[in-house]
Amino acid sequence: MKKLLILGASVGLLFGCASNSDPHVNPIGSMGNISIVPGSIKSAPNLNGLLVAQATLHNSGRSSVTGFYRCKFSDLNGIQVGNDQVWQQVTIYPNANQAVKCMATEKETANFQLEFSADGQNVNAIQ
Amino acid sequence: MKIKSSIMKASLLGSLLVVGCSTPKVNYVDPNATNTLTTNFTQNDLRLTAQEMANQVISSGKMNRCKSFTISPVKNATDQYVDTSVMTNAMADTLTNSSSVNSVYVVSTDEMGNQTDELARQNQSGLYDQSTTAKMGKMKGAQCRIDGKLTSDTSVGPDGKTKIVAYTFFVQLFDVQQGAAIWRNSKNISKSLTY
Repeated sequence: MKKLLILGASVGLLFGCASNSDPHVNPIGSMGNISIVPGSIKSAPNLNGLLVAQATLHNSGRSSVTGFYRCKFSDLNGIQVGNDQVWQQVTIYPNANQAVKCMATEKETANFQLEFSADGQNVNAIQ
Repeated sequence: MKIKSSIMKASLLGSLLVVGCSTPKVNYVDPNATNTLTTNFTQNDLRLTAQEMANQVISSGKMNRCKSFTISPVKNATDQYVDTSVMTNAMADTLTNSSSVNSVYVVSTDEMGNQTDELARQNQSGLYDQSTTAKMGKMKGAQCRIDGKLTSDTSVGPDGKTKIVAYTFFVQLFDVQQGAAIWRNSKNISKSLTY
């Protein structure tokens, strides 16, 4: 029984860590009950050749979470394309998934990074 | 009694000293940070909605149906003062600076005053070599026009302790000659205030 519990906890820890440790995701502060659904991070050029990126967030808590996200885009050399964007608000309901999407506006965009703040504290002007 | 009175006097004096000597602090903050001080439509909200609408029209690819475009002043249909020129400029910035937009931004209604003043100055003041001046009657017209409108709706709870303000920003891209809408979308923002 003990071994099973330890095994279960280890898997849970590994799963929990892995779902938020993707290089495309940069959590700002604690993610709390929010995690990135494994395998949900996708990016592809749209019909016009512009990069579109999407990730799905999951709220494992019992109450809604209002978080903030934005994307940073870079070219093939890793140099940032465009300016920093204003933070966008997203509400994730309890035990639900919510997709967030970012669209690049520059043709040279080759990569992206999603920044996410689960509690909004670190991205608020008044801290 | 005398000791108590002395302690009270000393405390009051100390408090006045602390308050009098404390100076207000000024700090720079991230201009992209969220602003939760008010339910009013803030500069951040203005830039957020304008950027998102511009990003969506770029992503749709429909902007490139227009060789040239202009942006009409955004109409403010809310019950508060909103400097909508921030929205107009934010959209113009994003569209003009995007490498995937081939359309050229041409002078808008707001900018026409400065434009005509400059043309008049060059052509009518008698100060300039006419072979070097910009000529009148040569301005390029806009093939397309971007139109925007900001509205709001306020709800107050029955106990007066909760207020929700919902904003909607509508944007349309029109072909000026045909009067046809090429693209249209809207963005919603809701803010709540709880006492």
